[in-house]
Amino acid sequence: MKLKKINKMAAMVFMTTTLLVSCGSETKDDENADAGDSGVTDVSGDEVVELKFTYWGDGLEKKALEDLVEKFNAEYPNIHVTPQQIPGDNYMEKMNTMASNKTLPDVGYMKENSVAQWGQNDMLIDQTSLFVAGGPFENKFEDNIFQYEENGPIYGSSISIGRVTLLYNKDFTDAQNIQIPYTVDTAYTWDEFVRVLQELTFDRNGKHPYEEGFDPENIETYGINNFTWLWEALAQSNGGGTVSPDGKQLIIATDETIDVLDKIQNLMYEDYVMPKPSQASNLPSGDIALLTNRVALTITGSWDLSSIGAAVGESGLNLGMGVLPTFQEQPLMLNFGPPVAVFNTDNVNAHPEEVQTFLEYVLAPENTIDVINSGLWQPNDKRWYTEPELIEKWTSNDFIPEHFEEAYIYPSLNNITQNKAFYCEDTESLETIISPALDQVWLNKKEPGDVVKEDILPKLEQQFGDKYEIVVD
Amino acid sequence: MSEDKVSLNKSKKLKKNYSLTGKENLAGYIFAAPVILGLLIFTVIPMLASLFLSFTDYNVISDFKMIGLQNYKNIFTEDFYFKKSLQVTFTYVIGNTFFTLVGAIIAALLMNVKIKGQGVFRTLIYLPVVLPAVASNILWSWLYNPDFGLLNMILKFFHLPTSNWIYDESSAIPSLFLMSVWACGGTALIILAGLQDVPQDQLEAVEVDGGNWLHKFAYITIPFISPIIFFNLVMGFIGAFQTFSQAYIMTGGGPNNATLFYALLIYRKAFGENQFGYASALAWIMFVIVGFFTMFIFKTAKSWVFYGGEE
Repeated sequence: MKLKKINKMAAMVFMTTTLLVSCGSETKDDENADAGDSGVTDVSGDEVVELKFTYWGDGLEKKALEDLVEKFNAEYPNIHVTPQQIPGDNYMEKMNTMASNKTLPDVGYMKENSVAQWGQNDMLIDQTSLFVAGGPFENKFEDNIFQYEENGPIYGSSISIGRVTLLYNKDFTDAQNIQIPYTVDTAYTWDEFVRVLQELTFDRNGKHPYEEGFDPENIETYGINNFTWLWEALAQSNGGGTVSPDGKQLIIATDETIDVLDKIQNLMYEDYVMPKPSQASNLPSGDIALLTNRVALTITGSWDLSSIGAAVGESGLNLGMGVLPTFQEQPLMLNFGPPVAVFNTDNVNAHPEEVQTFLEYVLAPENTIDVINSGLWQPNDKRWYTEPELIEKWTSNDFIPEHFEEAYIYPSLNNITQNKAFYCEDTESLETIISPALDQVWLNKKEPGDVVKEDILPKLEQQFGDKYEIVVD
Repeated sequence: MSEDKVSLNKSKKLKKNYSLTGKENLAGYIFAAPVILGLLIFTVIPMLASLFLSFTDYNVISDFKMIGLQNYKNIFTEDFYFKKSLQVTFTYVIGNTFFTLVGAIIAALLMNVKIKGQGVFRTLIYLPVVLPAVASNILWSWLYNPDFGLLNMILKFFHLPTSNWIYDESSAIPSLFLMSVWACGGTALIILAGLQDVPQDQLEAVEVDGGNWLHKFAYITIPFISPIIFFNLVMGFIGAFQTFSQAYIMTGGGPNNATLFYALLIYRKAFGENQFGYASALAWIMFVIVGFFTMFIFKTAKSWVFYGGEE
């Protein structure tokens, strides 16, 4: 009798499992059918190609991209694109899940640090042919192309350009009689920069850090925001950084890098012009911090022109833009910008032309002009930085600061230092080792040189062996 | 003849009963099926899959290769974060389990005192449990702010030395203990239920014998609630090993990996670096460790857990 019971139970479990599995496989078959031959026929009898497009972003980006897709679908009746927004923080988790059950989108954003791995595993389509002279993407910024070997495959290029820049509340700096330089030729040296930051820093009693009785625990206005996460922007400007521009050397232990780490540490703990991490966590967002004079200058990505730009119209912020301080001849701007990748799906391979049509459309600045005019994005096409009528299209907004051409457009063309995510396949692993160790610098627990030599270098050597030449000064 | 008839009737009746039992059994199995299937589909099969994956270099986006014990070998010989995260996790497990239990016992004893507004106090102690993890984590990150946080303000008010709390390597983990004690209301409630089962006559007997409150607590209360302490110890221990959200939300594993919990390391390897095979191996090592220590607690239970009346 016991045996019978067990048999019955087993039979039931089997039946229910079979039912579930068969339901599951039916769905999967349907999906595969969609992926393999996603064409359906429209009323006119022409085949309509279905494409899926994924992205992350805030409400503004969502609206802009949904409008773009709607316009595209109307303009190209033979292609139908379905947009899908995925939260940015969990974007790669979702992509991994979709990859494992073969439901990847055809076109979509990619997290910069994952592009190399996905490309090298044949998950992304090489877009090189689009970037050649005469090709549709010949005018895209070369620095914003994701390419990990010389003449190797290109796995995508940035949908928008982000550059590390300097923003400030002009009313506040004017009140202190300080003119922030806006051309790369007149950029502050580091010492000048620190001196100006000290002039702009006030404690609760109105004293500057160089005055006797200054209270570093009660600072009313900081000269500059905490930009430690952008330390590579300055390090690379000084000829240092993490990975050399040719991707062959690890240069974190060079004097140029350590010097900049040291300088940034001093901004917090010696010069008292930058909030410590704990103090920074209590400052309001960038736009409010500028408006309320909690910080005088802000080093940030140009995408922040969106929120800070909104404060211009809504709260009367008198926004100024300057250039970063220089370490060598001229300052350099670090670049950002997630790529739009084409995934290696059956659907893409079956309909390459339709995919290319959409890719060109989504990457064309004229089709994303609303997001560009919000300040969140900057055009990814060099012509929009050189041809006056195109420049006019995106620089005539109220929030575009004075001297934008000198402070942003000119250096965008001439003074770029490339973010390692664009050329180094180990960006994620490098950051996993380096970022936590640098906490000790930002918390003033250790000297930068010691952190690099004691906490970072041994791990880099162990992780990468002789893959990179590790340069130690 | 008549006897035969009777026996035939009996057997018919028996058969009928048997078939009814069968139907009942079937119904039982059907009702139990969702749980059995749930366990199979969402626990057993994924566990077996992860065990299998731990012997591969699976990264989702490419075909995997069987690499035998290579992941395990790399974890023990090359992974510099493995040791660190184990150290962090063990420190947390021990401290968290201890402080939460002590905190919960104290809270339960307080809740057991018959005073006016008892219900309000009980609700207040239990309240943190119903708060979403994200909300309470964000709240605590404000309290812990070294410059403007409430905790340092209180310390400053009493002219006591302040702390950098979660912003300092040495105080990050102890700060998280404090958070767990704050949220010990769930455990306290279970202990409170146990406290109410402590026989009054035995407490009175101690009083009659001239014992004070400490004698009552040590010789009567604690032995009577020891099964409940044991249960909470095991659950708290296993839960602490799986700690993730505090580090993910409040500290990101920092400063300098001071809160790199084992679960966060698994998450980083799987979703940050796409090393799902490796992360599966890490998860299985954790499973073995948790299993071993749980068994150890069970083994020691005989000597300190009192199940009334047994020797």
